[in-house]
Amino acid sequence: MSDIIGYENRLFLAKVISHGVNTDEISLERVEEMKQEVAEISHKLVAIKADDFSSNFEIKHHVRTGIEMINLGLEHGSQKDITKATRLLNKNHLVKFFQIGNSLKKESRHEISSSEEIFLS
Amino acid sequence: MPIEEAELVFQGYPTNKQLEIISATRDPRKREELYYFVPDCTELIQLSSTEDVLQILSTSLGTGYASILIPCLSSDQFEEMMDIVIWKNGELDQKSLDIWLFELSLCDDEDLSRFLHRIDIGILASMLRGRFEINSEFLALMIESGTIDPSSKEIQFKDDRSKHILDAVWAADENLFTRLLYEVFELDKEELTSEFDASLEKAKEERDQRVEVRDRQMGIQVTEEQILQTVDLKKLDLKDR
Repeated sequence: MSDIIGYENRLFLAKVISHGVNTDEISLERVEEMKQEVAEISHKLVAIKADDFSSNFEIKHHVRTGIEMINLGLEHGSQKDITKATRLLNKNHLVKFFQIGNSLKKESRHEISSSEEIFLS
Repeated sequence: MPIEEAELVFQGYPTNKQLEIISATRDPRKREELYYFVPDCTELIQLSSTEDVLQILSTSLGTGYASILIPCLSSDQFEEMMDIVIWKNGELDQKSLDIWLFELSLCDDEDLSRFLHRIDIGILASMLRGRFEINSEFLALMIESGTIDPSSKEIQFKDDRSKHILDAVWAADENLFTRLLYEVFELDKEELTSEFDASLEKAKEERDQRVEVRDRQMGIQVTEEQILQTVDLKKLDLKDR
């Protein structure tokens, strides 16, 4: 999980994980599980979305998208309450947060039809 | 190190070591060069992960050069690759179909026929629809009676690649050729359109099942369906205790 924390330390997701690990509310075992879950989501996202599998840039973009969607879903699901978010991370597979983030993005795309498809284009 | 020397060093390693080196080389172009360090890279390609090979093929897709490596794929690898590349967001992707049709059309007949049997007929029909015409008032009759083949004067091809593909289908299996024409021209339109839709739906289901089995073998529990699924934001289903 250190990769995710290091990847973007301003992400709410990263703050929650740091908080959970520091307060022993999130075990290292759960951290390992979350690494696996992020890897699985990224893998599927690349397989579903990538146009050019030789482009490291595009692959990184999809991996980043996956993490951003999880982050967005966690923010929404916890109403940015770090204590609640810690509990949610412990109890739910990260794909749940991804789905929430993805749904939020789609909804906002409907609302602002002119906005660019930044994430899941 | 001169290339000849590097090749000799590489060839001196056992296969598992060669695969380790290939797998550790993340730049697909450099990885591709390593395959050419051995006289025949078929075994190395077939022992590599499909994703790794796909990444290499993707660097040259659409240029015709991918067809050099495609024949090295095992039939299972080809099928796995098709399950990834021609589906986008759960739908058939016409752009990818077109590019792969082009690359496949450059393969020799034997390789082509090996791979064609791993592509669902509905998908094959999608690849070829609109790329050739049969000029006859008795289209259905000609197809039904089996009096038409790729060399028939009634067939007008819009490009060489579709002719090559149809030649290969004909050479591989005449019945497959006839069924393909039925699908392409949607004969008995009402009946066949629904049959075609059902055939594509079935192809998708089978593909989804293969993907799930492969994912499970790799320890991946997250499914494509979960990734594409949206949720009711007013009724979040999150465990909190």
